[in-house]
Amino acid sequence: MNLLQSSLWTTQSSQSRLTGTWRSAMPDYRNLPSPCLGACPVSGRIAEWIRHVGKQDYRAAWETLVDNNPFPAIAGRICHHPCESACNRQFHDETVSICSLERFVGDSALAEGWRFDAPAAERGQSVAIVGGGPAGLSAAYQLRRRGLRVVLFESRGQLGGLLRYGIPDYRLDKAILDGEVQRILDLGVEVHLNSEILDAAALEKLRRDHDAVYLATGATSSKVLPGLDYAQPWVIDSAEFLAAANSGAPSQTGPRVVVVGGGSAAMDVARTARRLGKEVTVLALEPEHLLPAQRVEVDEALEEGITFVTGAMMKSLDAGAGGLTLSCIRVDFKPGDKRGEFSLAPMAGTEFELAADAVVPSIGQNADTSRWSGLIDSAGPLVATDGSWQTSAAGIFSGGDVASMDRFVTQAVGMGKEAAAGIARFIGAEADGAAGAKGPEVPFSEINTHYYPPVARNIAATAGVAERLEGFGEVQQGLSRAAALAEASRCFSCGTCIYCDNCYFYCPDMAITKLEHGYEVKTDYCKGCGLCVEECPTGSVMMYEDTRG
Amino acid sequence: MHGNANGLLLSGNHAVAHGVRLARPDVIPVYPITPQTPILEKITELQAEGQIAAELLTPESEHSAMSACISASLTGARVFTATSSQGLLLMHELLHYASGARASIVMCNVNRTPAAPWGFWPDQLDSLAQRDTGWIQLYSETPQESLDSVIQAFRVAETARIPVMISHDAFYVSHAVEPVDVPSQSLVDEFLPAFRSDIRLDTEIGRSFGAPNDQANWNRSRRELDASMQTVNDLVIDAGRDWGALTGRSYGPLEFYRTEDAEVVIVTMGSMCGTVRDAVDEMRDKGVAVGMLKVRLFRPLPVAALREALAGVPCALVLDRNYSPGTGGVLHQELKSALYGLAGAPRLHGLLTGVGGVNVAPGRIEQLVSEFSGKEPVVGPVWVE
Amino acid sequence: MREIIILGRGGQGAQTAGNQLAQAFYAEGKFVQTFATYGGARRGTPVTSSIRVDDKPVRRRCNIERASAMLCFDGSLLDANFLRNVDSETVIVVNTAKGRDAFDALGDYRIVTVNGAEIARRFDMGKVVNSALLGAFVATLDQPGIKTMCGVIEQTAPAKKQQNIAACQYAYDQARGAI
Repeated sequence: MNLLQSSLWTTQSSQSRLTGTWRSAMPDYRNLPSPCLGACPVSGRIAEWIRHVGKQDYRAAWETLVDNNPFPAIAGRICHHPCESACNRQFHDETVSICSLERFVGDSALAEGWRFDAPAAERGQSVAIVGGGPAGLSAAYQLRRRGLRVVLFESRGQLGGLLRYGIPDYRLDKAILDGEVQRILDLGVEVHLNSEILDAAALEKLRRDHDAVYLATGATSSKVLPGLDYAQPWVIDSAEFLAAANSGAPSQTGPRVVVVGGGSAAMDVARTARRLGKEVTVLALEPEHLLPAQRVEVDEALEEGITFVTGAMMKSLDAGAGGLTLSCIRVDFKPGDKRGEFSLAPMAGTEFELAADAVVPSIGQNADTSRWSGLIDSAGPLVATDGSWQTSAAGIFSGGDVASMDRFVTQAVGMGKEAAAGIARFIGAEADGAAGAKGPEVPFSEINTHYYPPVARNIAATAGVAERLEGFGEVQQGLSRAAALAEASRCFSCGTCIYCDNCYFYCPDMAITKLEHGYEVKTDYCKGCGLCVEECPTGSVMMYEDTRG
Repeated sequence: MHGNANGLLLSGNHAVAHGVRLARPDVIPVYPITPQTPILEKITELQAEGQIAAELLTPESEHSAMSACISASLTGARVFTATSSQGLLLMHELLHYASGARASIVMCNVNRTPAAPWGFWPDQLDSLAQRDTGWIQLYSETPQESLDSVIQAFRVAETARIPVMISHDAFYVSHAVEPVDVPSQSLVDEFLPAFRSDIRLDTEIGRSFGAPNDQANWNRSRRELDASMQTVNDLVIDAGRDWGALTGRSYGPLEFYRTEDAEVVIVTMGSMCGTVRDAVDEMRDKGVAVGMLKVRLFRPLPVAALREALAGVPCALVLDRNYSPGTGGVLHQELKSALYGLAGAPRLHGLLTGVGGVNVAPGRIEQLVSEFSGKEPVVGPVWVE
Repeated sequence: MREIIILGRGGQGAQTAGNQLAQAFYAEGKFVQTFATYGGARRGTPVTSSIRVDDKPVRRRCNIERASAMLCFDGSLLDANFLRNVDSETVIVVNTAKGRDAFDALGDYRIVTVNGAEIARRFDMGKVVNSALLGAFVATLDQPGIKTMCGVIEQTAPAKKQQNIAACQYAYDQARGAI
């Protein structure tokens, strides 16, 4: 009878039926980039680190974050977060609070004292970095991780550049800056403070002494408002105003301050002045909805009692015994094609006056490129660079505000990262990598929203207005752990496989094999029905035409 | 004192539950129905007491219970279930599936009239109507035989890889409380070792059961089922003999009671066999040469043994406690078919006795013998009261 | 072979009484068979418990056509249908509050009445009458003995064992007096 049992025929293994040949389309786990990744100035793998947050693996989240940006606690406070504007979740309910989540992870790292790992191996080559702002520090970090020697020259007394001298404490507590900078220095960076590279000759010497140079001196000279006498004591340059306030010795002015300009720096000036007890008016060319500052900055400024006079310009200024009188006129403002370009048409008959005791023009900064003339070519107001951020002088790379009009801190961090890769390739420390061929981003239509019931966004708390105006404490608060977890669970993980096994379970042909990390489609059995794609919550598997012969 | 000094007073249904306990099944999916319910109740009680270690599943219908039985059995587990009448009929689709997939399930069916009209009475049509589903069918006469048959059935089912249905009559067996010898666990373990099929759903083995196939393979599956069915008669003989060696109670596909030199042989199944025994004794006492042939194994029908047993017997009365509309008694049909072309075949009378559970006492059987044994049989069904 | 019928309505305990009586016979060395049949498993519908007692194994599996004794839990059940299974020799014990003469109209039967409800109340057993009825019934039979019957009740009564035994013994004594 045992013989009968062992030889008994059953329907055997279903694997003997190869049914895949009739399909015309195949699913593929291409893990296309999420829209947030595409929008991120540092190309951060956002969906991936949010997934780690969701699993309460904050260390893994931080490690994923700092792969591209050594400043998550800073970025989590001041990044203009274009990721949130790109987030697919906004088409379902509300965008994911990516920036607040990043701050949560960055703050966790500082609280836990997590450090960067020392480079796997030290290399002999040396890179000089000129400028200790976000671009220079980002480059220093990325170069040190590759084991390259880094010598950093900073003209001022402390590192941080704009982060230290331009961003007020109520947006970025300097202890956070110190913590994230120190972590980079701990990787072993030779820093020379109060060391300005004055001219082309000095730069050329650096090029000789090192294998490469990174020039990231920022945009340090303020644009000049025509018709304003900067020699007068009641005219204060915005960068000086902010640097003075940040250093604890604010500029002395009368009670009424007019800030001219509508960008982030103007908001910083206005709100700083407000905290110093001033009556503040912002005068901007743009109508309110076109102000270049982030919307939240404008809203918070309004909450703090700042008066906005928008869509107007100052024509002239009279200084009298009772103070200053600004003669203004309303303008028809039309934005141009490029950022920063616009056209103006004053509207006759709309003249009005503003009274003030001080004027702080804050209409932007220019890079000083003239000091490198003869060594480095310029492109308009900027240092000219090629696709890998190399200047016309071989071995000298550049980035940040000196080389770009993308004047956001995280853009500078991204440029520093990219330049470090260019430098590594230039000096032969790294092979030419395929520059991460990015496919199209995962569109909202690929997300299976049945798996995501609408849930309100978790928004970080904001300090009350009265409390804010008492000093320079941070306005934006961090997310609680519970809120962070809830918010992480709202992420669609667009294009990022979350190993949910839906494809594996729904496949009617059992054509999907589980691998250690991910899945594989058995071509002999897949009929191209697309159920796996339909049931994928994240759009990480998509159908593609099967082009077999 | 009587010979059952060590016996317990058990109903047929509780005897089945003890048989199940002793067989150590792994999974028991079951759904209650009168008059099967005491089997479920006792199994549940024994499981709660820790005397049965099986996983007990209580799905929402008999259809689901049988589905669970098939799946569990195909994982290689030992599986038992029990049902009756409407419940068995609801399982019908899956009874075919179970045998086709070669699931070694053992099921107890309590024979009860199928509706309509609604009733709870002993009648074997519910299980006889399943004769083409590919299940081995045993019919039990007594609570003791039901207990013994459950244990033997596992050995047969697991060797032949064909499911086994043991049927016993409502009330007359299912609810009849009488002395039952309950063997020891060690005795049963010796007879029926633990089972883990080498043909099962297991990714290491890589077999499937019931996947779509072409005509040739479907045909092949039935030819192989037939080949296995051909072995069942011997398996039942072996199991009944081995059981007898351990307990003193032997069983076989057929049982002969005082048929030596019998002029009339009464052929029947289930509880009526006991009543016929008393009738036979009374008639023998009066000098009537009558005996009884009890059919215990109905599927596969022991055709060769039946032909051998009945060749040369002048008259046989088949007592059917069932009625297949348009034909007559099912056992009668089967006997006619089995004896077809047999030289010296008996005059075969098919009598519809006890259909719907009406009473058939020994005196009535005596009357039937005297009324029909001298007659020529008729083709159609014969209703007798 | 002795054949006994217990008639009752679902829920009254006729099936339990049948099992207890069979156990008492079994305890005294007899072979027994008892089975209950019922229409719907439903309280209030008629239930018949059949008991066969013999010195050799009971083989027949059919209804009792002529009972030598009958215990009736409910006088309303004593109609022509059930009386077909008894004859003038059959002892019929009926649970009733009525007197013996209330059953005269049925014909010439050996009827013994027992007021089970009254006895149950006396022993604080509510409506549970089967121990009392068994006591009275055993009093009319030569077997089993009342000690055996009480022993079975002690083993099998799910609650109030002592009250059940006392009710059985009381009914037995009362019936012995009446006979």
